Amino acid sequence: MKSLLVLLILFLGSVLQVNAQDYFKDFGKLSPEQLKMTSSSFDLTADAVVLFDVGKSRFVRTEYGFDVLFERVTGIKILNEAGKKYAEVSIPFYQEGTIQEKVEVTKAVTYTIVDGTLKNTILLNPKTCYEEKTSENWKALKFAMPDVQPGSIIEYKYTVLSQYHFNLRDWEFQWDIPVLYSGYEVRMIPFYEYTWAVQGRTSLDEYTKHEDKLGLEQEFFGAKFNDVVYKFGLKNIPAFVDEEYTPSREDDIIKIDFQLSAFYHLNGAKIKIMTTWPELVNDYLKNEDIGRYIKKSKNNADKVLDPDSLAGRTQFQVFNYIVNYAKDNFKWNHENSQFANKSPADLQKDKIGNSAALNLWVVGALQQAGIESYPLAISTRKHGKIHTDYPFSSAFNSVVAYAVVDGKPILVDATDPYCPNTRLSIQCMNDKGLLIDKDNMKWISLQSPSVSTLSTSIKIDSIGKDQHATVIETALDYEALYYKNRYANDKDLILTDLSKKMYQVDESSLKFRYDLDRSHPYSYLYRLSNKSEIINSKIYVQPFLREVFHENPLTQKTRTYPVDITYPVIRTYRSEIVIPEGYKIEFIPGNSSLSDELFDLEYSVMQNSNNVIVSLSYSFKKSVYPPEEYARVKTMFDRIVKKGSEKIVLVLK
Amino acid sequence: MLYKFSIIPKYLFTIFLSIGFHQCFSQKYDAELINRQTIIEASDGKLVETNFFEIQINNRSGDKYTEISIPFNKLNKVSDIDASISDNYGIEVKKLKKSDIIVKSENSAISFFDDNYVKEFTLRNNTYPYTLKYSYRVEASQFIFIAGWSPVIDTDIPTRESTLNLSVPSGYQINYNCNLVDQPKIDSIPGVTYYSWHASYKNPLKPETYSPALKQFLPSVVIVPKHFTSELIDGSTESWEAYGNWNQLLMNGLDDLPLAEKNKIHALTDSIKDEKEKIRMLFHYLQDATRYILVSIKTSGHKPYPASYVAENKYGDCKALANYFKSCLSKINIKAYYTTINADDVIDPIIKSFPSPQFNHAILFIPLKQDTLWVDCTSNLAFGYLGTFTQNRLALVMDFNSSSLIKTPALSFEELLESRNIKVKLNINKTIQADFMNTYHGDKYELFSYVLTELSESERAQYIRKKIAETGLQMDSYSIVAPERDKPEINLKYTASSDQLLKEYGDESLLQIIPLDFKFLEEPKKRKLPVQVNYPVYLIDTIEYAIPDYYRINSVPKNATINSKYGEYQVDFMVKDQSVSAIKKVKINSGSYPLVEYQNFYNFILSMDESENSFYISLTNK
Repeated sequence: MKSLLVLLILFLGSVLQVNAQDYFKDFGKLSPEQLKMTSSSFDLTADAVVLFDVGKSRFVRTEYGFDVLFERVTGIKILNEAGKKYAEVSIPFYQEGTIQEKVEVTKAVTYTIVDGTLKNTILLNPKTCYEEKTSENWKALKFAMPDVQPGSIIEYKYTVLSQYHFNLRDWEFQWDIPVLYSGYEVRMIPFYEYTWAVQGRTSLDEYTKHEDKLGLEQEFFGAKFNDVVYKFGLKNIPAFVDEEYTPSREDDIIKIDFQLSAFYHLNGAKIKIMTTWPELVNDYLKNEDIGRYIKKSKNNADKVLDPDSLAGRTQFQVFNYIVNYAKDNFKWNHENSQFANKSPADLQKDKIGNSAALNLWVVGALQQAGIESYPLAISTRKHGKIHTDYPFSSAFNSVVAYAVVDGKPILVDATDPYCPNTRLSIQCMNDKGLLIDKDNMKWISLQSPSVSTLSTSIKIDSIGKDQHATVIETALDYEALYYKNRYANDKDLILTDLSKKMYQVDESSLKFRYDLDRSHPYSYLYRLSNKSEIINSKIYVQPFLREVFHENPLTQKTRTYPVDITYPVIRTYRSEIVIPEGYKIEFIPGNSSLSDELFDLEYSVMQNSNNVIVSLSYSFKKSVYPPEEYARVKTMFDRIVKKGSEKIVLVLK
Repeated sequence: MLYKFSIIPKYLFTIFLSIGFHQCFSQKYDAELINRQTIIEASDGKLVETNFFEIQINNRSGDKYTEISIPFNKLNKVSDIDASISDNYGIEVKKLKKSDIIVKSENSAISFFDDNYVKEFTLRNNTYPYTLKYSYRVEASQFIFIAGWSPVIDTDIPTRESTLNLSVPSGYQINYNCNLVDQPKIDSIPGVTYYSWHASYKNPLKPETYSPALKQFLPSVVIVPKHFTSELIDGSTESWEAYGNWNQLLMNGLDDLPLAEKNKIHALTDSIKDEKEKIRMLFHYLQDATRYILVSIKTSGHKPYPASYVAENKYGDCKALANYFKSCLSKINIKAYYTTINADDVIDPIIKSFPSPQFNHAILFIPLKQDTLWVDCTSNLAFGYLGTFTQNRLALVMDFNSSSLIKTPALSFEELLESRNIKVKLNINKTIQADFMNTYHGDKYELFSYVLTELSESERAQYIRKKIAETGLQMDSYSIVAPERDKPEINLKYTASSDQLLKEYGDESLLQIIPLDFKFLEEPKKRKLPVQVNYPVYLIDTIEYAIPDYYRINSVPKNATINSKYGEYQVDFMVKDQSVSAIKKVKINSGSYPLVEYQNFYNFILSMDESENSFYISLTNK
C-alpha cells in the first residue's frame, strides 16, 4: 500500500522550502544545464526528461459567479528518438450542458539544440492544433511540436477555462519519464473549501500557504477578499513504470487530488459537500439515482416479478430467482457508476444499463420480496483503492448489492451473467466497500470469501509408439467463471486451445458439462493421443502432459508493485499411468511438499503393481502479494514448473 | 491447510463421470446477417447510397452485433439513420430515438489526428432470437470509389442474402471488379442504366497461419467511375497511366521547398560525386530530421502535404515524407518516382486489370545508371532496404503518361537469415546457462530496430523477456547492439538459464538440445485456406555444450535431414572430448500452394517440430 498524505485546507502546515522561480514568466529562458543535458542524473535510461511542469488554478469572476482558470507550463528535454513521442501533446477537456470548457494554447516552442548550443527556435503553427471528439462529452486538443530532434527542448503553455468547481483539476506530479520539478499552485477564494490528498508520497518538497495581500483585493456582492495561495511541489520524481499484473495505475502514480468539501453563502452559511462517511450514506439514500431509484425499483419489481416464483419459496430460492431475473434480462453497458443512468422503467424497456442501474434494481427487488438488502458502494480494480480517511464520493465508481439471506450476508453483482449469484464479479474484488445503510454504515471486505479450485485428472492408459490419455478438467467458483466466459459452449474454441498444446484430440470424445445454473462447475473431458517420448528404447512419460505451467509467468527480476492474482486458488492435478505390458519402472520422481503462510505445494507419487499415480497440488493463499514477497512468489512458480514437468522412465523388462 | 490435497482429484473424477457429460453440439452462429441491401445512385459529382441491414441475433454473445458504428467525414455525409428491433414473432419492440445516437471521433491506432467520425448506437432485446433492422443514407460529392461493397459485415457470421443495386445516367461509364460474386444483371430505361449484384457468405472464414490475405476469399464488388473529379482535378480509371496522371496532377506545386531547405540540400550533397551517395546522404538527413506523424484532414486521402509542411514541422505521413524527399532529390537533379504500394506482411496481389487505388502506402522508386533504388521515406532502417512489408509485389510507379506497375525485389534467404550462436554450460545443481549471440536480418531486424529506437528501456525489457526466451529458458540479461548504419542486420546478446532442460533420472541425466520453435499450424482436416509463405525463412543455430568432467557422454542424437519442395532441414551433431555441438539449418521456401497440398506442407513443418523436440544427450555420472 502506498502511503497517503491528507491535508485539510484549514490546517496551517509549516512552510517548506519555496521554489521561487516563476516558470510562466521565464518561458524561453534556457539554462546552460538544460542546454547541455544529455541524460537524466537519476535515470540513465530515460528517453526524455520533464524539466518543469507547473500548473495554477484560480477563480475568475464572470457575470454570474466564478469560473476556474487552469494554466500550465511544461518544458521537456528530448534525449533520443524514443523520446520524440513526448513532443505529441493531448489536452482533454469537457463539454456538457452548463459546463463548456475552453482550451487555448498560448505559446508552444521547439528549441533546436546542437552540442549544447541553441541553434533554432520554432513556434508551433496554430493551424496544426486539432480538436478531437474522444467521447460523447470529452474532447481533446492535440498538437505535435515541430522539428523535434534528440537534444531539443520543447516548451508549451496553455489555459483551460472551466465552469466545473466540484473537483479542481487534479495534478499528477509523476510522468512516464523523470521529472525535475513539478509544482501546482491553487488560489483559493473564501466561497469554496477544498480538501486534498497526496498519493504516493508522505511529504512534499514544497508546501506553502499565504494570503495574497499584494494582489488586488476582490469584491463579490459586497464581500471583500484576497486570494489565499497554496503551493505544492516535488523535485526529482522518478519515472512511473508500468509492471505486469498491476491492477491500477491510479493506485500508484504520485498525484494530488482536490475535492470540494464545502462552500459558503454570502450570508456566511456553510454548505457542507462532504465531511464524513455517514453523511455520504445519507446523501446517497436521498439521491435520485441511488436511494430513490431503489424505491422505484421496488415498484417496478412488483410489476414484473412472477408472484408464483416468490410465494412459498425459501429465502434463498427467492434470492436466486431475483438475481437470475436481473442477469437474464438486463445487459451491462460496460460502464461503472454509483448512479443509475436511467429509470427502472427505462431499464425494463431498454434491457441495458450501467452497473448501478442493474445492481440497485436488484437491491430494490430483493427489498420488495422481503429480503434485507442494501447498496454497497465500491471502487473497481481499475479505479484503485479507497482511502477511508478521505471521505468523498469520488472514492467510489460503482455499486453492488448486499443482501442478507437466511441470516448470512451475500454480495451480488449482476453485471457478469455467468458469475455465481453469491459471488462478485472479478472487477469488483478490490479491497473493501461501504455499506449504504443509515443505521449500520460499515466497511465490508470485497475479497473472495472462498478458494477457487481447478482440477485436472489424467489417465494415460495406453503407451506404445503413441500414448493415449483421457483428461478431465473441472473448474469451480471463479475458475468456472473464467471458463464460462471464455468457452460457454463453443466446442471449436476448446479444440483450438487444445490443439495449441499440440495435442491430437479425438473430437468426438470432447464432452462438456455446462449449464446455465450459475453455481455449477464447468468441466470437460476429452481423449488425446501424442507421440511417446522414446530415447534409447526407454519411454519417458510426462504425467501431467502439458497441463501445468511450463514457463514461469513472472519474468521480472524484482518488482516495485504488488503481484495481484485476484483470488486465492487451489490447483490440483492427478495422473494415473497404466504401465504397458513388458515394461517396468526404472525411475520415478521423489515426493515433495511445502507449506507456509503464503503457499502450499504437495507432489506425491504412488507406485502400484501395474500403475503409477502422480499428484500435484498447489495453492496461492493470498489474493495480493506485496513486492517484498515477489521473490518468493517467483520461486514458487519455478517450483511448480519444475515439479509439473517431472517424468517417469519406463524400460523393457 | 484447506483440503487434503490428494483426495480432491479422485473425488472429482468420479462425481463428474457419474453425472455424465453432454455431447457437444456444433453451435449455431451468434448472429446472422439475414439481408443487406445497398442502393446507389451515382452521377457526375453526386453519389447517394442507401444501406439497409437486417441482423438476427441468436444469443447473448450475439448482442455485440447490435453495436452499430457508421463512419462519416466531411466528404461523406450520413443521414436518415433509422433502426428498430423486433422479436421472434416479428413484432417491433423498440425503435431508435435520435438522442440514442452518439457522435465521436473514429478511433484510429495509426493516426495522431483524424477527422473521420462515427455515429454510434445500440438496441437490444432480452429474448432470443431477435432482429435488428437499420438503414442510413450516405451522400458524397467527391468520390473515387462508387462502392467497395461486400456482403460480409463480420467474418465470423454468415450472410444469407445481399444485393447491391446501382443506377447511373446512361452514358456514365464505370469499371468494376467482382471477387467471388457473379457478374451483374444490367438493365436500362431511357436515360438510366441499372446494375444489380447478388451475393451471400455461407461459411465464415478465419485467417490461418501462412494463409493469403483473407480478403481474397470474401465476396466483394468494387466499382469506380471511369471519369471522376476529386480534389478539383479530373481523373480517370481507364488505365494505370490515366489514373497515375490524376495522382501526378494532385501533386502539382507540392514541391515547394523553402530556400533554406534548398541550401541545406546543396550544402549536404554538392561535394559528393556519386549519385547514389548523394541520395544516401539526403536519406540520412531525412531519417535524422523527420518523424512519422499522420494527420489526415479534409482530403480524399490521396494528396500529400506539400514539401514546405515537412520542411517546417519535420514530420509527416508516408505521402508527405515521400513527396518531400522526391522534392529534395529533384533539387539536385535526381529523378525519383512517387510510388504507391500495398504494404503488409501478407502479400495481397494487385488486380492488374482494374486500375484504381488499391494501395495503402507511398514510397519512392529511383532508377540509377547502375542500380535501382526503392526508398521508404518513413523507414528508420538501412538505406535502400525495403523490408517484409513491401517486398516482392507490384507497386504503381507514377510518371506523366507512363505510370506503370513494377514489382519490388523479393527478399532472399540471405536477407532473412536468423543465426544464433549458443554456448551452453552445465552447472552442478542441474541448471544450465546459455549464452546467446543472435544475428538477425529481415523481419527480426525490422522488429528489433523498432524495439531499440521506439520503446523505452522498461517496455523493451518486458517485450524481450516475453518474446524471445526459448522454451524452458529464462532470460537473465540482454543487450541489443545498435546496428551499423545502412547494414540491415542487428545483434541481440543474452544470457538465459534453465532448470528444465537438464533432468536427472536416477544415474542417468538427459540434456535436451535447445529446440527451435515453429509457427502453430492448424490441423489439416480443419484447414480451409491455401498456403502462402510471403518470404523465405532461414535459420541457422550453432550450439556448443561443454559437458563437465563428472559426466560420461552416453549417447548423442542421430543427425537428421528432411528435404521437401517446401524447404530443407538439417541437423548435425559432433562430439569432441567433453564437448557436443549441434548445427541446425532450416530453410522454408516462399511460395503459394493450393489447399490440397496443405497436408504435405503441414507434415514438413510438423516433422521438423517433432525432430526438434526429440533431441537429447544422455549422460551418466562417472
